[in-house]
Amino acid sequence: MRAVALYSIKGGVGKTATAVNLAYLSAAAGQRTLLWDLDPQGASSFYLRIRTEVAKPKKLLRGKRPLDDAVKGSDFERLDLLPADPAYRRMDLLLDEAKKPKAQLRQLIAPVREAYDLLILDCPPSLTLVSENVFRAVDALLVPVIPTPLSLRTLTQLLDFLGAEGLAEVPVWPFFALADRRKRLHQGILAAPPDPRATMLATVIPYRSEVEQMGLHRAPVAAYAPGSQAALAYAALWREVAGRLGVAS
Amino acid sequence: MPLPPTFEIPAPLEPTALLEALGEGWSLVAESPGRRRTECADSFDWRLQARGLRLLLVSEGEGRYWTLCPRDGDLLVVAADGELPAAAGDLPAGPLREALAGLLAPRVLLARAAIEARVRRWRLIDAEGKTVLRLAEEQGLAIATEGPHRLRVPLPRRVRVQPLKGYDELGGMVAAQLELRFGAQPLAGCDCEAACRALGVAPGGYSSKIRVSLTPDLPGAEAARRIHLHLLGTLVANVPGTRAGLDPEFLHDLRVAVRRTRSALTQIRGVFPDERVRQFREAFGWMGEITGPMRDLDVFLLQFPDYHDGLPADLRGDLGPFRDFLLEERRRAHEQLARRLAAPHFRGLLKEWRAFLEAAPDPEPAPEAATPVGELANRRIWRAFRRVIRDGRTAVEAPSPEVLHELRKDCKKLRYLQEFFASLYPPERLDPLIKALKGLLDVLGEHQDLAVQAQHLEGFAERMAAAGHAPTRTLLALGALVAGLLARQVVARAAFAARFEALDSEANRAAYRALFKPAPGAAA
Repeated sequence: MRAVALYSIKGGVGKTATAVNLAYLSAAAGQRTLLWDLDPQGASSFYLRIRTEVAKPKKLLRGKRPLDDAVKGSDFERLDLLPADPAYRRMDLLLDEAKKPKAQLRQLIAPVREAYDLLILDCPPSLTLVSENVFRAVDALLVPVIPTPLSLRTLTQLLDFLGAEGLAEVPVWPFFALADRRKRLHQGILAAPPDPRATMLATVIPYRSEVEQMGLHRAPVAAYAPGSQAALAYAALWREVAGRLGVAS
Repeated sequence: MPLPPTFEIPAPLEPTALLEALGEGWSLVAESPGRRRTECADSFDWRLQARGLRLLLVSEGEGRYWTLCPRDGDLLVVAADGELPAAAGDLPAGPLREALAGLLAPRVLLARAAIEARVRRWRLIDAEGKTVLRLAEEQGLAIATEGPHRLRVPLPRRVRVQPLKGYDELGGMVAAQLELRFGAQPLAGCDCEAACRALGVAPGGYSSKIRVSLTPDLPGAEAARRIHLHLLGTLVANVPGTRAGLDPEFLHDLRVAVRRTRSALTQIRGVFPDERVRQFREAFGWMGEITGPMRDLDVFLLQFPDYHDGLPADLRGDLGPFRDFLLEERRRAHEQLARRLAAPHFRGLLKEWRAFLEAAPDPEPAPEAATPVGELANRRIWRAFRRVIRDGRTAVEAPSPEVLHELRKDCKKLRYLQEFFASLYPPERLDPLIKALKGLLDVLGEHQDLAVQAQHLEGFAERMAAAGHAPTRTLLALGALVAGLLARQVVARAAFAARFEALDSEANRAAYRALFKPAPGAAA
């Protein structure tokens, strides 16, 4: 099983929309895919019409209850979800109780490695113990970046943090999201590469109303607007990511 | 996930009636109907079935996938990229190949039965608009994949209830309504079982082992007929697979059946007219001859990895031309063998043999035709055993290759006799004797095989050289192989004495005496 996280220090950059769409495309390409909604807001779960509720979430995070028990099948073949739970607001504290607090997530996912080909983590925005667990559990970090100075700054902060924590070898794959070519600011940043330590992926996810409508349809974009620009952009992003992970796209 | 609950259902599923039964808050969405083809995969000798495994290759629309159903436990579903027949190595790398590792080789997976079905599907949707369960109704035909007639048998209409992961409790709810209101009957087992049952295919029905049931008072000729008919059944069952070259075990089992037949013709002496015995022995001798070259090449190819790994690292690469040579020779040998097995001569011999075995008893019976088989078996086995002991003791004194080869032949005769007549003796008394004999036969067999292989290798090397296909280093590698085989032969010879001692022990001889020695005064 390969594992990637949709991660950003900053919120509102399109993590969840990307996580859900990539998970959908991965399953459609034949991969047994598990999406873990780690964000207590539970937007991924909402998009897939699955209730944000996990029975005994604390036991789950302590490893006293197998992850598999909480997995729900989505409406799409091969795509399963580990729903979020309000208790995840205190996930830092729960992880901190583990023997190896920074490696607890890695431990928890070990038993599902056989059952899935790809795990996608939808992470809450922040730079906490949860994030550190994520960094140690995945093969790559997919980082959406809005073409604005503030968003770029958080990418730099992330790279600094990884460097300082001895995690510089964790692959960071940033990509531009919510890009609006009508905005001069966006145009300028899209043209100039931001941080030399991490090369941006080639795909740019545009700002499109189809993406916002995911909340109305409660489904991935490709499921209700398959030919749309947003759907095409996610498909291109998936091909790029799948190629790097070495899985079928 | 576990096997989805499946039900037999008398009338087509009526979605509105089901929704009514389920109550408020649910909806059923019909999906486009389709077709599904399911092939039940197993080796010719049902190796997966013997392990409690069922493997299905399912094609549905664009998708094709393998489904492995353990007797209990979760299903394993893996995307398929190949077709049947398939060797274990042809399966997609990953959990399926790992689950079957070591179970199949050298056998291949074949389609043992198939189902073609029209499928109607629905999704059950909860109040949130979330799919929570899938329903599929199948109307299928079981289709035979073997035998001259491709039998087609309609299967009962079935409904499959597949709750999505995490919504398992709904499966029970829907199932209860199906049983209560629609007369659905739960079905056990997977599709393979239903298809095999409908087609009269007996999973586990083939085995290369001898399974003949005899009683001691059966006349000798009748017992011999039964043994021979059983062997003929095994032989014939392996002809199509040998001709198609599906895997090397078909030819191997075919040859074993031929050898056992020849041995039975000589060893169960006096039950058939001498002239017919002589004629059929000759016929089966010919079958042994025409199948030999191909088997030799199969053995070399099967052992090739061992040969390769047994060589010094710097010579391993030089075996490449030898492998190419073997493959080409095998291709030719197979072509020739397939032609001979399809030819009238071979088919005629089998027909004549069957006619002889199925004919009414001879009006002028052979001298032992009426002798009860219990008496006959005791006499033959006792005699064969004494011969093994006599020759074995000579061999312990001077274990030359020739003497050991002769002893091996004696042992094989004894072994075959015990197999033919096994049903006449209590297994708890016979099995330990067979075990001791097998221990000796293994060593003698290895000793002989190594000698034969070394001799063949030399022959191959000469032919490769004569054909100009032999680089010097390849010949060196073959030379090293021959030396290795002969060294192993010395080890096998050294192991012989200890194994023979077990057979020649006081206890073992007493057990043979008690079980087989004819009562004094019985006809010699």
